[in-house]
Amino acid sequence: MQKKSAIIRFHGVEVKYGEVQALRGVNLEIPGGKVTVIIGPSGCGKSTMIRTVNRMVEPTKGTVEYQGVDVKQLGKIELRRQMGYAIQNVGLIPHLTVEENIMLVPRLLGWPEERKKKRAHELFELIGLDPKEYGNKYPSELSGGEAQRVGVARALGADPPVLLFDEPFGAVDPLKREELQGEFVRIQRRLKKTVLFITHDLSEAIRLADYMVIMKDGLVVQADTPQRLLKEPANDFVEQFLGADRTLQRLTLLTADRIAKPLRIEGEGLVGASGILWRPLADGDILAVYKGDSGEFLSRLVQVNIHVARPYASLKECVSKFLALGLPAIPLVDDSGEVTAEVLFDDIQRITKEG
Amino acid sequence: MIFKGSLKKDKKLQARALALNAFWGLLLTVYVLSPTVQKSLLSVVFPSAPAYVHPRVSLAHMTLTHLGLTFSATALSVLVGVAVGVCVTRSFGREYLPLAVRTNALLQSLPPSAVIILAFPILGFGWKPTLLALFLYSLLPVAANTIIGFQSVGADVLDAADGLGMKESQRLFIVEFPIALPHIVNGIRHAFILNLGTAAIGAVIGAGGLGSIIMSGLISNNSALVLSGTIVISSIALLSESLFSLIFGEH
Repeated sequence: MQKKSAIIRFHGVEVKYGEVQALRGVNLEIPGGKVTVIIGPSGCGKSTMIRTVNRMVEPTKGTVEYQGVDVKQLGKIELRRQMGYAIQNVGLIPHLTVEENIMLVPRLLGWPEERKKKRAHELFELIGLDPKEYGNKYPSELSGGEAQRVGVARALGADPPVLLFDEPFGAVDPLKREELQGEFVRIQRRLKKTVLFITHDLSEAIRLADYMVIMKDGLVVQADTPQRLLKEPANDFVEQFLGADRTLQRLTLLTADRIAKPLRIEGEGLVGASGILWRPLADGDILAVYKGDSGEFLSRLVQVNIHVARPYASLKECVSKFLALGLPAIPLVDDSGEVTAEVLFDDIQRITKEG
Repeated sequence: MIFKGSLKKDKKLQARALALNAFWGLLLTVYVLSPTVQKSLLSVVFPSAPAYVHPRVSLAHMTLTHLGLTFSATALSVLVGVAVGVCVTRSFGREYLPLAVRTNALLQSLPPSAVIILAFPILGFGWKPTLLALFLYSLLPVAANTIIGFQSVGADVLDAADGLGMKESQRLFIVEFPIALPHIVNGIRHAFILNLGTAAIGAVIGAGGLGSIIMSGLISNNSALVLSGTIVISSIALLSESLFSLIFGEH
């Protein structure tokens, strides 16, 4: 069965490095405009697979098609410039500034100076870095997380339709990684690129994937939506790989803004279904006012850095915030710092039961 | 480092160093140009020397010949050394890398005097065998440093450059050359200083240069002449070292 929306197709792709067989006949269709996450233990051939797409690796057997054409028919250079490329160790060019790095592909394509300037600004805004502060910095002056953002921005440089991401957030600590994943979800909802995303981090995969490919020993074991994979693992390997805490994993599928409930203004604060009054304070924190068991009014300080949900936070992250705050709801704070809604613990419980 | 605005830093210090270099350069020029200055200076150390200047050739002429030999030999080494270094680090030439490294080491192990003596039946007397010897001798620092420079480019940087769709030539000039350049400059500096000293042996077969006055002093047992040549060679060496540092930064 050929899917109409497939933009990249693998037909019996085999790759041999000398004696080592990295891919043993991969058949796969990558849907256009979606995030396809490829996951598997190290040495399963996932990197090799995406490198056959932009001809960094040539298949020993089989073909890779891009928009219905065998990539061998397409010039390497032109092909690669249509596909953004970001890797785990980023590989920023050390003697070029951040802005020059981001504008590398536009420079290769010979864009005029004005267009490059404009595009650079868009990209800085997209990745949430200040162009004035970061534009003239050198890669050695960036933190790990900043460098990975810049790496992603460079891949997006000339607005390519396809993105090949080989563990682009692999080199940062778990906290920073969750933040970058949130950014990625936000960016992808706007751009709707065809993304091939490699990771070995399961919660990252489930959180980002529209379509998920599980690989082992150079073969695709199962490819489906994350929901289906979690519900119906094809075999023991997939089931083991996805782990016993599949319920918790399902929570990484949804973001906070999907289940948040609206609030109405009441006095100096906002009130919703939970009955808690959220009163914003001058320093950005929030005071939660609620009724205790015997009807008295109690209050608790909600610290914006610890207890609130961001729109693109996963429900799994929300659960840990519930535990930290100890109330039946947490406020949702948007990018501009406004309290706009609340997430109810009951709703999360309902979702886990449905699963 | 050449990059990242290191030149902007310590402007005052640099201006002072530049002024100092200019001052020493001026003193050296005066010494080289004026036989009177040479005499009066050398007579302080060797009051009873039979002669303070070379009987036939002026010190200025010898200095120019010496510098000419040094510069041309270095220029040749740079041309060939960088070209070899670039070629053996490309995909098409990588298999020749071990060969290049070994040949290079072999050339370095040849004493320049042996090269001169072996070459002079073919190239005759004069500057030609000397130029050949200097060129072969100084090829190693240039080629070896070029290779090290290109090998110092990170694998991730190369992978990203390829993956983003750079042509081989774009990768070379936009990515690799600037990263390798500080190493290459170091090689050139090394080669130049090496040639400056070694060029003196060219006097043995009539290449001229500051070796002539040193040789003449040794033969006539006149240490004043030896000192005169040595003063000029070592001053130029020190001056050019410090100029290299000033322009390209410390190594």
